[in-house]
Amino acid sequence: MDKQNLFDSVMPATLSLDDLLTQPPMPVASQSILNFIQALSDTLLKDPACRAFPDVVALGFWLRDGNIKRLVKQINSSAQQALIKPVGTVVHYTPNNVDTMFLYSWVCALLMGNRNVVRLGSADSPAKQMLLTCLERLFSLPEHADIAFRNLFVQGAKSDESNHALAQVADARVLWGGDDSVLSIKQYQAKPRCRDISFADRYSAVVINGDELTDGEQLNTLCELLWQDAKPYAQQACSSPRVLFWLGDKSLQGEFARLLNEQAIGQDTAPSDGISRVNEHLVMSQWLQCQSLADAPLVMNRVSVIPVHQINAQMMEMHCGDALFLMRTLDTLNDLADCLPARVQTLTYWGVERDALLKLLAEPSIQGVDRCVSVGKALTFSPEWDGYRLLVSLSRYVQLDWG
Amino acid sequence: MTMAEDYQNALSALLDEPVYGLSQSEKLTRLQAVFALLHEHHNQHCTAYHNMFRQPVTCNTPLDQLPFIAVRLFKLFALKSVPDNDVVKCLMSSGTSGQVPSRIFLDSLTSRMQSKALVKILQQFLGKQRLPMLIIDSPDVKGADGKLNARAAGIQGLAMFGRDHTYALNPDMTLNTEAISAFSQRYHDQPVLVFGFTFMVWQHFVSALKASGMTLHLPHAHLFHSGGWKKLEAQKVSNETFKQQLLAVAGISAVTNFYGMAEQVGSVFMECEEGMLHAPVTAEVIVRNPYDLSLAKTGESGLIQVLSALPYSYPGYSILTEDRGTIHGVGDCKCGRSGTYFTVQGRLPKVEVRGCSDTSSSPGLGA
Repeated sequence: MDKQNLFDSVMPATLSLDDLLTQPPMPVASQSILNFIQALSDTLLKDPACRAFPDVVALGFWLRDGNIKRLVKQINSSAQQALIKPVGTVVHYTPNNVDTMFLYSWVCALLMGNRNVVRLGSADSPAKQMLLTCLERLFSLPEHADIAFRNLFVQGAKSDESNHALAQVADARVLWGGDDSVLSIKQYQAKPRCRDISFADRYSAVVINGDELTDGEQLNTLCELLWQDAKPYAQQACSSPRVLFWLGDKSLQGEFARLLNEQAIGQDTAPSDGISRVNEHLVMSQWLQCQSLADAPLVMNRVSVIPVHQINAQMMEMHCGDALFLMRTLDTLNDLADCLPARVQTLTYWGVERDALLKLLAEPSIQGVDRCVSVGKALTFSPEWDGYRLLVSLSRYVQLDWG
Repeated sequence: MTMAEDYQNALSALLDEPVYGLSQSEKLTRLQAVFALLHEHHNQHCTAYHNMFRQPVTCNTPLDQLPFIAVRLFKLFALKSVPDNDVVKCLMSSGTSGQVPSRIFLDSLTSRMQSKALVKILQQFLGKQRLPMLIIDSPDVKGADGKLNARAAGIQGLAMFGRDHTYALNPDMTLNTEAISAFSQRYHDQPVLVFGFTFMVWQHFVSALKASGMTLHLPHAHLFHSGGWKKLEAQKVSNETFKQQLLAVAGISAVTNFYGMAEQVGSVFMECEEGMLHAPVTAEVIVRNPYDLSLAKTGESGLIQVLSALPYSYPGYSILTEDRGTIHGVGDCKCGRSGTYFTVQGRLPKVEVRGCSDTSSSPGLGA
């Protein structure tokens, strides 16, 4: 059976799923893989068309030689008394609108020598189109032919048949897209030893220590960094903070809300976008206030900050993102322990003493938080993501004991 | 006197005024007094309202500083300001499939006042005589469970202006050609009332007549329609086209659109000869900047806020809609009616669900 017919379109156009499976995986971090990643990084950083997309530039930056070499070193150091090998075929299911995120996990799988099938979402965006054009161009070059033979990007794989086919070839699956998508893809049975890396519905939070905050420069910097974490993908990435825990002194909350809003307005390039935004925030705010779960918003403009009396699952489900922050005031850091359920992915922090934070996070009863990074780094990708260690999960560890 | 009596007196007095005759300053003074009473009433009898709007409202509070409730809240909560025993009717908005409809709870006072206000407004266009009425809908639109969907409620509201109510459509939304022809033959030489929802009129009446090759002759008919242009805009059908086609297939030249919603039945905004929607004496309209909800200037498009003196049994006297509109002026419309006049530009775009929790869709699952 020619499996190419399973999809609306594939890239590279001459490659089919069957063809891909005839190629053996490549050695982990082989020179041709490193060359390809280097070429991709160069393209994304130098192509003038890419500059309009900050997240594409960020991706290009992350792929640069120095960073990848650091990862390779990490892989090698874990290979004492062991062989590290590819798992085989990795199938990636990409989310619809977080355009660049899935490329990070793809590069991790590629680096580990795997064959990859990337099932692209149906939604189109300029950034996604441009990334695909760049990839297609690189795949067509003879020096990257061995990469092009082992990496297939497919579009329109929605039929039962195509989903079965993808599930059956996978030695590992990377499932982006939240609870519903993950569960529906998992209904297609994969091999018994297939590893699923599931990116479920998560949300992220920031903790700000009001006792350590001063007006002026410091508050400005905080707002700038926080907006870096919340602006991309309209706050839709799971790692972008949607909840704001404010510890201690509350006197700067109002000024903080005002400055964050100013920061956001100042960075807008197309202010006419988001005509429905404030109404969505109003609905959320009134929905909360109606139930006595919140006070009147501190600001409801380009950004909305709503002081809430608690955080619960239903609230987080209603949270529509797009510059909306639920602010929960806490007396001490210890009160945070009750606010970190399993759904919390990333905790960013400002002005909180590291040792105290570490002690809190070590608490066995706390189910949430798979990443803890300083404010401004919420979206900085690392192969340790959402509680998974991708380079480990996407490779085989062959234990050696010659004794 | 109790607050309820104060309110009823003030509202009744307002309803005795000409629909489009009060000076704007007089109207605002009267409305402010009513809204101060309504705020107090909802504050005392609707916990949700009390939780949301703690600010004081007096008869000096300008309309643009009154609290406003997002229209979607009526979908999310059962909001009412009277005891359950007093509820005589529950209106449901026309939620498209899968959407939760709004639920609007009416007591006998609000229900009565809605009818009274509507009668007053429509009489300005129809006169006092009951006319033979052709309803562009199916008789099945009426639910049996006492809960009224918006279409049935709208039809019921206008039905009191008609007699010999004739439904133009079969239960499957095809033309009931027999009923229509009989109606048309019987009443071709006298005034008749035709009512339907904008999209129904276009899709199941105008287009259906055209497709069937049938033409009607109702030169003295006056069509009233409402419900919004969203679906027609998608088909690139303008108000002009709509009117031209009605004339062509049914001989109807008098066509009046009006803007209203299930959340504020009664105080509807009628379109005048100049194509402008007019606020009646019981209602006012405000347009807000959609980016920060500040007041928009005359001539600027924004989000429509509707205010009505009628909602007593539910906290809906001041609602921020999800419709976009523009106020064009106050009291100086060429049609001669006083009050604020405006146009509607359609709905706010739906917010896409995006991001991590939205993969390339459900992978099929054979569904």
